Formats: sequence, structure tokens, C-alpha cells
Amino acid sequence: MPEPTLKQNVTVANRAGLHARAAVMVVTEARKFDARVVITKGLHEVDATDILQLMSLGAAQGECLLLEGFGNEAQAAVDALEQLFLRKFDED
Amino acid sequence: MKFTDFICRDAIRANMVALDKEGAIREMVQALVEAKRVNAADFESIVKAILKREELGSTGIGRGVAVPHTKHPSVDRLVGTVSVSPSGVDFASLDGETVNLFFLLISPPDRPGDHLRALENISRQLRDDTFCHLLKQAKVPQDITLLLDEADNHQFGS
Repeated sequence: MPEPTLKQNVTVANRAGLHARAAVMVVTEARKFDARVVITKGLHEVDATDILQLMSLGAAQGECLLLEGFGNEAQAAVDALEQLFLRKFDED
Repeated sequence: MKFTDFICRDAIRANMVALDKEGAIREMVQALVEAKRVNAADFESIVKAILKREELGSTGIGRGVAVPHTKHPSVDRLVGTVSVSPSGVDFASLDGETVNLFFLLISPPDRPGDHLRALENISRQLRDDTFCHLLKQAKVPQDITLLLDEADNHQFGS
């Protein structure tokens, strides 16, 4: 695996956490880019385009996640995913 | 959280007959009514709430699995059930495939953490292809119960 080209910490700010609909938003956004984004919570590392993996994080409100982007559009992909978290997945 | 913490055993079904989304949801909520985990008087309200959630985006998450759910004030703790459809249901899933395996969840409005932990458990276990495959092959509710128990006892991966 190549070195990550971008790292960004995000906090789960919405009350419901990274539940099904939020996870779908992450997957949909991540698939738009020529990049691989890995999301890490503690020791769990998952692919941002895999909804089962995302939901298996059980990321609750207030928890911190690390986004790591690889590939040509790593910056754009990580920025787009960060925005989803900042927007609280359009909830609350 | 384990399956046994939120899955109502008496509402598990292996023979779903519905072929569409609304019918599937009705069958599962009806199973919870028959198991006395949901009041018959709340049946329509719960079905409507779950369908409304589906309008925001299908909970058919791919790989033949759906997790229809809602918050509802009629329950005081998280309640869920599992159903298997031998023929498959058109659920407008993310990957376009029909759904054979359903986990339905109803949670109290003030307990988002419990819902999240149930989803975490379901998705973590379903990452094991064998578990997912065996559940879809279930012929009777006891097959499903046994698999859920085995998953709770860490017999599957992750």
C-alpha cells in the first residue's frame, strides 16, 4: 500500500452517530473519487466504500475517527468526507 | 451488544412470503405483535414510521441484507427480529439486488446509542460470509436462533 497522501481527524458530531443513513452517505461520497479512504476508530480500520465495515465501527456521537486518503483524488475525497461529518450528515 | 440482547426469538421467521418492501415490513412487525413485543394498536403507526424512514434512503445495504428500522415511542427498549425470505424481496437496495435477510429494529426515541450498538453487532457479524450465507439458508426459525447464538458465542469471525 502506498503511503497515505492525506490524514484528517474528524469527530462524530451528530446525535445518532454513524448509523445506517450516515454510513450510506459516506459510501456514496467516497465512491465519487479516484481514491481509497480508510477510516480508523481505535484499532478498527475500515474501507469508506464498504457500508457493513462502516457500521461495524459503531461510531457514536463525540467519538474521533481518522480519515486517511490514498490515490489521485485523496485530498478531494478526504475533504468531501470531512464535510459530511462537519455537516452532521444534515441531521440534528 | 449481543443478538440475544435485542432480537425477540418468538418473532424470528424463516418463511417470509411478501415480495415487496411494505409487505415485508408488515410481516416482520406482525411477528413482533404475535410475540407480544409490540402492541397490536401500534402496528400501523410502526409500519408507517419504518416506511417513512425507507423514503429517506433504502436500508437495503447490499449483499442481500436489509436493516429496516425506526424510533418509536411505544417501545421502552430496543426490540428487533430477523426474517429470511426464501424468494427474495425487491427492497431498492444500494446494489440493486433483492433482499433475503432482514434485521428489523425498533428503538425508543431517546436511545440512539443502543440502536447504534445493535447495528454495529449486526454488521460486524455479517462481515463473516459463512454466517451471512447460513442465515439466508435457514429453513425454520430454530436454524436462525442457533446461528445467532453461535455468533453471540464468538463462533464466527470478527
